[in-house]
Amino acid sequence: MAVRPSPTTPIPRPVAPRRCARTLGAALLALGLLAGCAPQTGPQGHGNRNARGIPKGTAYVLIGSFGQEQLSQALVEEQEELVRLLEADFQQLHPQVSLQLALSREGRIPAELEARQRDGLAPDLLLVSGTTARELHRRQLSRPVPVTPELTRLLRPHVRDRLRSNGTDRQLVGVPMLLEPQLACFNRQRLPQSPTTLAALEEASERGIEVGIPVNVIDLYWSAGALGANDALISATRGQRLTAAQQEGVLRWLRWLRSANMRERVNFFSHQEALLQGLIGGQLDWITCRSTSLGRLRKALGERLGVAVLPNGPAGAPTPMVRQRVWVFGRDSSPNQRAIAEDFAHFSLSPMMQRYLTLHTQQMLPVSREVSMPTGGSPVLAAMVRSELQSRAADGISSRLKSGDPRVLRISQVLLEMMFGQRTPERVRGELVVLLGGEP
Amino acid sequence: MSELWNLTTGWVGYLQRGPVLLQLLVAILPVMAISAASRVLPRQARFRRQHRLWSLALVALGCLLLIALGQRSGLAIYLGSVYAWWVGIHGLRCRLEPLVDPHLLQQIDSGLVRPIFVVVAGLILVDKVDNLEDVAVVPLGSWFGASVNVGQVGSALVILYLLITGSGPLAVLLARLLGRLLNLTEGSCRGLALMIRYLVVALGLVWALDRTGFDRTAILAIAGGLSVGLGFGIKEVFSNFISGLWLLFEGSVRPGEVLYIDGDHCEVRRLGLRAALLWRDRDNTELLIPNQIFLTTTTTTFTGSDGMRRCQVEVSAAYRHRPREVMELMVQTAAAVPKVLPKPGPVGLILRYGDSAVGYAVRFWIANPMEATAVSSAVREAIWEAFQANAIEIPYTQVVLHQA
Repeated sequence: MAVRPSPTTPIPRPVAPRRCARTLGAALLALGLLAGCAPQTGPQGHGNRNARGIPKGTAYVLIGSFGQEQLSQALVEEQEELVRLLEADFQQLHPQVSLQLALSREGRIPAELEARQRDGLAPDLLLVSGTTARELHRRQLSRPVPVTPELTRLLRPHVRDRLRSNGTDRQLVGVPMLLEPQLACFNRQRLPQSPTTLAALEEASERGIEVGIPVNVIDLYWSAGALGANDALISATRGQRLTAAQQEGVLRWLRWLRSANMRERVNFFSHQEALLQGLIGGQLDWITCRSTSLGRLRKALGERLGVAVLPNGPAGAPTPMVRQRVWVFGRDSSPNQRAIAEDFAHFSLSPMMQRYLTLHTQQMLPVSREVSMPTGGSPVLAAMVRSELQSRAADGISSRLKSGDPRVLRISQVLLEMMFGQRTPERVRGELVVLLGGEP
Repeated sequence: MSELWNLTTGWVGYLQRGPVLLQLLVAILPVMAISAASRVLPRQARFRRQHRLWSLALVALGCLLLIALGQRSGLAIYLGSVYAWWVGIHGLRCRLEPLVDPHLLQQIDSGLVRPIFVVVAGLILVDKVDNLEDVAVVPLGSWFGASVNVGQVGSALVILYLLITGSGPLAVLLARLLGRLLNLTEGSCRGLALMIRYLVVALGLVWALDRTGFDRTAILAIAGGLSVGLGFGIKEVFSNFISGLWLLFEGSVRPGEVLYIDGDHCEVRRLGLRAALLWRDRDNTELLIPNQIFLTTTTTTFTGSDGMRRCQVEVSAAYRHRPREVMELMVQTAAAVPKVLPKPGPVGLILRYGDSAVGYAVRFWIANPMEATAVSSAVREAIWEAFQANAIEIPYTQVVLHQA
């Protein structure tokens, strides 16, 4: 039983306050030490580096991932590969700098960034598509990039102009880093050459070649140009009335999609990842792929991997949508982190790095005008260059139809329903025109 | 594993940012300061009782100040909300204490509610500083022929924990349902509940390993190696575990059974993995007996085929009383005592002709073996009263001394 001290008994000084004060002090000290261990925050501007002007510390990089598929280790490695290569070289110049990479779905990034900015935890640098970069700029979630003479000198004009903001100052919404063309990837053991026309592709499927095509409208758009629907769809996005020839072009495209789906060995998939797994696993022999997946496919298939441009159609060349990967700067960075992010983005634009990444990985095309498009030595690079040239015909729609746009999902759904016979091509044509002409 | 380490240590870099530090101070400092003050001021009982509410109020004020100043405040609001929930859980437990069994409340609170809360709050925090889906695919290395990542191991651990802690009530419910359908006794239902629980946890473990992608052949090989190790190293523990399972199947030592241990009847409270927990009502003691003892020694049970127990009370009466009258009186008296079963009814017996008296006994049945001592005492008392009322003498020992 506890004995209460009488009023005259001197009360010994309690130990608890000292302990509490110590705990409180220790907690504050720990916080201070952690902050201290984290790279130091320097003064503003270029003085935010150490005395020799060398940045140090950790910067946070968020990489946008396309598609709706679940993230996997292979996908993460594939998406991070280029940045890791850059980081390794950047660290030779700045050994005290490290990058913390994270991956997120491209469509979720604006909402995610909004939430993280409320916490003050937004990344310092993002590698996203051009359309996402525009969206982030529109929502004021990113810092615009002034068009400096250095950028003007470095960047290809058409690449730079795709990223101009709509404001009067015409700043850039981000700094372009690379181009990801769409290609045909195939198993050379099953198919020595990629079909050069859609008719040849159909014939190959008749002979037992398993063909895989994504159902997402952005990844499927290459076939629109080959079948004569590109001009009509661009006109639809501008809200213009379609001519009879244009209407016929759209109908031809839709009918081809429907008839392709009827073929036994032409398979439509909702996720690009499923196509890649199919080719790696041997269930598919010919698929459409992005150039950034080539590294993973090479590892899995080795010499069996064949890469070519997408097939032409009766109306001419295909119109693949090239993906532009863009550096976007976050708004929560400390001055030190901002310096690292800017230095890193500019480092990736240096002609030497652009050339190195292009030739070493053969997974991307450079955005720097000081690096000539290398076509001679490698058929893969030649295919990528040709695909990029073909994609310019689709600029009119790719600038309006963004990857996170709800219309993309809606149009993909409508196309899927048509391919399964639930809607007629004639009805879908009308719906496409309405959807493309409307607001996102 | 190094990737996970690099990832988590990399989050420290956010402390470079002034707004992040400010939010942490706003959320943590008031809680620590008020907590310290409540100990510094031991005489302020009211303040001590309400110090959590004061902390919450200060955190809320700090968050409002951040919002008013246009500063980043999401992290501080989140941390404040987590603390508010924590205080809420504590308050709810205090409110429920008078209404719910304290043992059950403790189990639910510390075994289920608080761990779930901590895990969910932690995951949300991780999602704030990183992308949770991305963190889930961080590789942890290759174990038993399978490449495992954070998500696989984390989800397997969470599911296993939930199975171990949450399968108890579910197993009891299912066992009761089956018991009602199959007309099982209470003890059988408890044993069945335990077996269902073991089964669920074992299946959960296999499922978790399978989901994580472990190579089954490698697991079997390792299990084979381990079993040799088990044979030498922890054979006693393993022997007790197997004995426990055997006893459950056999049904002789299940929760609810009454056993005779060291001269006392004890009720089996729990049959654990290693030992059985028995309760002795004489001195309210709990005995922890290794399972294999029951398998290797003779065990007396009062609840083997039924729960009834036959008790005996002995008494002496003088030679001058007719034995039939004495026995009838004893039987009638015993039958009138509460908790003595009418069927089978009490029986009177002459045990011996002693030096000073005739030795009698009355045997009677009771439904609950644990009440044998109390009911026997009541019967003894009733017989004494009955003998008094009917002038039947319980004689002292008579000794005749012959002096030469």
